[in-house]
Order: sequence, then C-alpha cells, then structure tokens
Amino acid sequence: MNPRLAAAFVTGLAVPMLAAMAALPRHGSPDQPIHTHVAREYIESGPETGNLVTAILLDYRGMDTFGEVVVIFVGLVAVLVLARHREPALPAASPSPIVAFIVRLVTPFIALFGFHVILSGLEVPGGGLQGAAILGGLVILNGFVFGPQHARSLLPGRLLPWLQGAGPLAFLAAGIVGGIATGFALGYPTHLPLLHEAMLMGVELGIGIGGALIFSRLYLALEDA
Amino acid sequence: MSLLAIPFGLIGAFFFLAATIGLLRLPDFYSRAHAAAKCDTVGAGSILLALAFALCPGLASFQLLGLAILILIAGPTASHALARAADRRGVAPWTTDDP
Repeated sequence: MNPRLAAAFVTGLAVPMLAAMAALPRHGSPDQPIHTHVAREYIESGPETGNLVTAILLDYRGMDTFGEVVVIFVGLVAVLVLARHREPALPAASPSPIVAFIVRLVTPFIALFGFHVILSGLEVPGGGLQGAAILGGLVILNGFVFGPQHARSLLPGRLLPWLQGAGPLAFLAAGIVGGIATGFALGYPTHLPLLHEAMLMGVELGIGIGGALIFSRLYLALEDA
Repeated sequence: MSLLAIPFGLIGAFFFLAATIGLLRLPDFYSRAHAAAKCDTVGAGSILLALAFALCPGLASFQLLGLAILILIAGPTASHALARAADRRGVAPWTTDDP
C-alpha cells in the first residue's frame, strides 16, 4: 500500500474521531447524557429485551456490540494470516490416564453448561461471549490433554469457515430482519415477541458458537506456529 | 438442617487455614501442591456443603452440591496433573537428607 495514501487515510479517520472526543463532556462530569437522562430513561422504560444488561448490549448499544464482534473476528483473520502453518513436530505427550478419564467425563457437562450460559444470557447474567469462553476453553483443554490433532477433530469440518464468522453474520441477519420489521437497522420488533426472541437467540448463539470457534482456532494457530 | 452448616463451615475454615500455612511453609513443590489440593477439595468442599445446608431446602442447595462434586473431581485431577508434569520435568522431591 502506498504510504502516503495510508497516512491520508489514517488522518482522515483520526480527525473526526479526535474532534468527537474533544466535544465529549469531561470524564465524570454530571452533564454527561448518561447522568442527565439516559440511564434513568432506560431503567424506567424497562428492558425491552430480556434483562437490563442484555438490553443494553444488544439493543441500546447494539451497533457497538456488532463492532466488537467484528473486531474479534478480524483478530482471528489477522492471526491466521500471520501464523505460518506447519505440521506439529512432536506427537502429543501420552496423557495421564486419570486426567484423560476426567477430561472425557466432564467434557459433555462443560459443553452443556457453555450452551446454557449462551442461551440463558437472554434472562440472567451470561450470554454469547461468556459461553464462547467456556466452549473455547473446553476445546483448548482437550487440546492440552489429547493433543492439537484431537482438538482440531472436535471442530466442525466443512462448515467451519462460515461458523467462525457466525457472530458478525448473525448480527447482520438480525440487523436486516430488524430493519424490515421495525424500519431501524438492529431494531427489535417488540410487537412480535416470537420473532424478537428468535432474533436475540440467534445473535447470542452466533456470538457464542462463532466466538468459541475463534478462541479454539487462535489456540490451534499458536500450537502450530 | 441449617445448624449443620456451622460444623462444616468451621471444618472448611480450618482446612483453608492449615492449607495456606502449608502452602507457605512446606519445603518443596510436591508437598506444597499437596497442601493446595487440600484447600480445594476439603476446604472448599466443606464450605460449599455448609452453604448447601444453610440454604436447605431449595434449588440452591442442589446447585451448591453439584458445584462441590465438580470441585471434588477437578481439584485432585489438577493437582495430579501438576505433580505428574513436575515429576516428568525432573523436579526432585524433598527428602530428610536435604538441609
């Protein structure tokens, strides 16, 4: 890339961002919108979507969460581009029979708990990224004990490239469906409770499954590097 | 039932104290790992049992019981894996011959 072009691009991005930062009320100042009316309004008019935290993450600042999901996905893409793949030189160290047995025993329970955390995030603390950390940790645990080859075999084969992007894709789909149903991108149709619930579940599952696969592949990329 | 919480809580507190002293004072990796494992299994296990008794009857008791079982499985396994890894790396255990 042309360095001058890159510098112009970065400057063009930075100037409006810095201008916006300068226009923000001072940190901790009581004039911030969040203190004057936003927080009260949001608590009073109630969480339209599940609990208050979910409502804020997926609804009030849904665009922000969308951006975060994209950032995590881009992080994986960057690591996969940079990490050179090579065949693992060492075979997996033979695991202790005790550890192997216990890991086999608890794996289904941890997987179940991961999905529980993802889906119960609609009503109670939890949600996509927390569940993703549990499921990704499970794959990494299996990789430590049985070797990276085994961990790789736990991931879906042909669907993997799509499922890795499940977070951004689910968000995009919810944004489009919400746009059609309400007229606002990422709007949630509160007058259609079933669709509303399905959209939230789709987004949580997308973040959860996509995030779990991203964490797993980051581990595998480091293991191969 | 909730009176049973007191002895179990005290047992848990005692094991946490003893295990912490052991972790700080014992001479080598293996004996310290042993002390840390006591913390996890007996200490946390007893305190979770005490809480389960304190909240009995109710759903929370069963959840705490499930948590205690999980800790009972996971704690010793982790200690075993640590000790095994140390042994394979050639960490020598402390003996009475050592100063």
